[in-house]
Amino acid sequence: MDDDPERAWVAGLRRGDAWAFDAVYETYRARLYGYLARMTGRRDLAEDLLQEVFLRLARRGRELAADTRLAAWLYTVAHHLVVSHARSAKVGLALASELARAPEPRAAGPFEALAAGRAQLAIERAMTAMTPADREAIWLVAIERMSPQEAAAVLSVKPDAMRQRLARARAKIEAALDEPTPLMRSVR
Amino acid sequence: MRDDADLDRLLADHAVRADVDAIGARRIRARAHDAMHAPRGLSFAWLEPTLALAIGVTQIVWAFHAVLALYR
Repeated sequence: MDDDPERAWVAGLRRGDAWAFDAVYETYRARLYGYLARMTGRRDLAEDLLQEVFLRLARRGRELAADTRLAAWLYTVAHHLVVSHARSAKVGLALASELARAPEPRAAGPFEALAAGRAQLAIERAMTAMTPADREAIWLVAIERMSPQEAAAVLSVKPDAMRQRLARARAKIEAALDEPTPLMRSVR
Repeated sequence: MRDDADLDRLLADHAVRADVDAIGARRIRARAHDAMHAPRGLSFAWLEPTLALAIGVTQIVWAFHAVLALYR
C-alpha cells in the first residue's frame, strides 16, 4: 500500500476498484454533505447533489490523472453542481452571477438547530450570515485545510478575490463570537 | 483579537458535523457501484474534433487549388 492513501485511492479508482471508491466515499461523504447543505440551505437537496458528485466520481474514476488531488476534484464538481442548481432555480442562492451579493434576510441555517453550545451556534450563525461565496471560501480553507491558492483554483476565482472573501468571512466569525449572549444582552 | 489561524481553527472545531442518514448513504453507495460497473456505451467524443479537422483540411486544399488556378 502507498504511504499516501489518496494516491492509492486514485490508482484504485483508475483501475475501477470498488474498495477505492468506498474509501473515498467514507472519507469525504460527510464533509461534502456539510458543504452542500450549507451552500444550498437544504439538506434534502444536499443529499441529491452529494449523490451526483459520487456518481460522477464512479463514472469518471478511470479517467482521473494519477496525481489527482481528490479533495480539489470533488469540491470542484460540488461547486459546479451548486452553481448550476442556483442558475436553474434562480431563487435562494445567488451564486451564479450575483456571487458577492448580500445574503437574504436572516433565515436559520440547516444546522443551527443542531448546534450545542454558544460557540457552535455562533459559528453556524456566522456561516448563515455570510454570502455564499464567502462561506464556500472559508469552508475550503478552514475545514478542508486547502491553501487559499488551491481554494481559489477550485472556485475559479483570482487569489485577490479569494483573500477578500476570506477576510469578510473571518470578520463575520469574529463578530459572531464576540456578540453577547441573549442573557448578557438583557443584563446590559 | 484573534488571528486568521485562530478563527479558522474555531470554525473547524465548532462547525456542526452532519452526515446523510444511513439509508441515504447506502443508497448513494449502491448507485455509484452500479455506475462504476455499468458497461460503457459507445462514445462519439472523437467525432467532433475529427469532423472539424476534416473540414479544416478540405478548406486549406480548396484554397490552395484556388490560388493555383488563379496563377495558371
